[in-house]
Amino acid sequence: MARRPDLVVLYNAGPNVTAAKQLERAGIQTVLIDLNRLEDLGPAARTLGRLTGRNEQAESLAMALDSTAGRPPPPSTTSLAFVVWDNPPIIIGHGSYLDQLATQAGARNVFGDVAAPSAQVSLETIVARNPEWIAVLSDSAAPPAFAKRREWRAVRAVREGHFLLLPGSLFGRPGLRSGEAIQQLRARLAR
Amino acid sequence: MRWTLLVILAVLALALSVVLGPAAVPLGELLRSDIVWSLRVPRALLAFLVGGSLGVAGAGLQALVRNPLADPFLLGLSGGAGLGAVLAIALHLSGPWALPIAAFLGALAALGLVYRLGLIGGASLDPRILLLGGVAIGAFTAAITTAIVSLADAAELRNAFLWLWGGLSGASWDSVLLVALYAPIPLVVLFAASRPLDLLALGEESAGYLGADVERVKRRVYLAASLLTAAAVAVSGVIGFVGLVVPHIARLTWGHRHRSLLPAAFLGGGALLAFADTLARTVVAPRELPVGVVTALVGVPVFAFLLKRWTIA
Repeated sequence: MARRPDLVVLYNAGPNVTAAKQLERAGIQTVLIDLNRLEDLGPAARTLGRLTGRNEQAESLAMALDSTAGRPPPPSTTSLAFVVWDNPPIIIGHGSYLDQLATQAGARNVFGDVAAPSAQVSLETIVARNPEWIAVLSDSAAPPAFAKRREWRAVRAVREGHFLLLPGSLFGRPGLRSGEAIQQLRARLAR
Repeated sequence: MRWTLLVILAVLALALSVVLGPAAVPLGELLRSDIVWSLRVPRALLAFLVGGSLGVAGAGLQALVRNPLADPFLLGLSGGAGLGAVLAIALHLSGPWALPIAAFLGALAALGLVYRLGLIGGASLDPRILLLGGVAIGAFTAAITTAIVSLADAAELRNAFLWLWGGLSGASWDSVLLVALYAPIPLVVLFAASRPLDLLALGEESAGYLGADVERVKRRVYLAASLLTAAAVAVSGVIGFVGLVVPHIARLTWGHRHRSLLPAAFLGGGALLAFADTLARTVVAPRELPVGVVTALVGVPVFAFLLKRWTIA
């Protein structure tokens, strides 16, 4: 409030809804944006274009983003599991942005049947589902620390060093570079 | 007869942990399955060792502070372990054992601080001060942990809480071996203190008249129970209710004599945690519940029943 912005853009989640109401009460214009999946990108661009008076440019951008989101996925040729935490194992399930990225890049998320963006699972479930790749959001080129843990060596992809180390800045959230993220993921899976 | 039943219950809990799981392993392939030998068997054994350790630690601490509500984590150990784990992540300490070792050291630091507070009135370890000191150190470390987490950007720090909530996902033959080598020492110390702990129930003065070296017993029991709990929290996070409820259930059947109570608490705690972990892994498969949720769901009704009994008595 002290910086007196003309517009505050907030991610649409619990505490931000309260913050938006407080800012509105203080006379500051706010907008809450859903940005969880590829199809949220186009509407977000249009909303921001309308609020900043750049409708034309926003529409052009939104059409390109809508086209990325609406592209029919290629047939899956490989499988992966996104591991976001190792102890307890937390994986990415159906309906999340990363699940969409995998599908668009031609990979089957082995936890695509889990009806939650992320979920805690047993390690033995990962072993049984036997993904060809373990995908991890990481800015490092080194395999994750859990790769050295004996219990994780039961997972074939871990034993064989089949890790997809995906930089968080590109893969972490939907954005203008989502198309690039899909291309990069596809290229890495093809190696 | 009751010992036979308890042993059968313990073996049954272990067997179910090995046979049941979210992945379908046919009975005929159990002995050859990599999932069973690499994951289920060590997890079942670790659950049993951790549950048994928490049961004995709880029984020992309840006798020491002469308070039925004493829990192994009441003495600030969980707060210390949490701070250690979060610091390890914040400082980017790498290595597969960084988190458990940091948690163990954090628990030991909390143990040392609470112990010093317990001696604040002089050379005698005051159980009341131990309890109050434990609560204070627990709150203090929890506040620092929350401050670190709230200031950090890394999602990993928030995930540290998942680890702290407790679970046996990190079970491996390494962690089983570690606990199997470490736990017998504090367990033997506690079992050896069975008779003095019985006398302590009569009051410190009476216990002294009857031949117990009260100060030595108090120090040994506190240190042994805390070291046991610190090891448990290092390999499995904070799993609540086992150390609180199991000693009470054991007391209902075996009475207040620690010579029977402590082994019963070990077998009962082991069976309860192995059983709870099997439920956590299977009831919502392929998803998994935090095992602390299951122990709380089992523990709270049992505790409510016990409270009702005490109130009526």
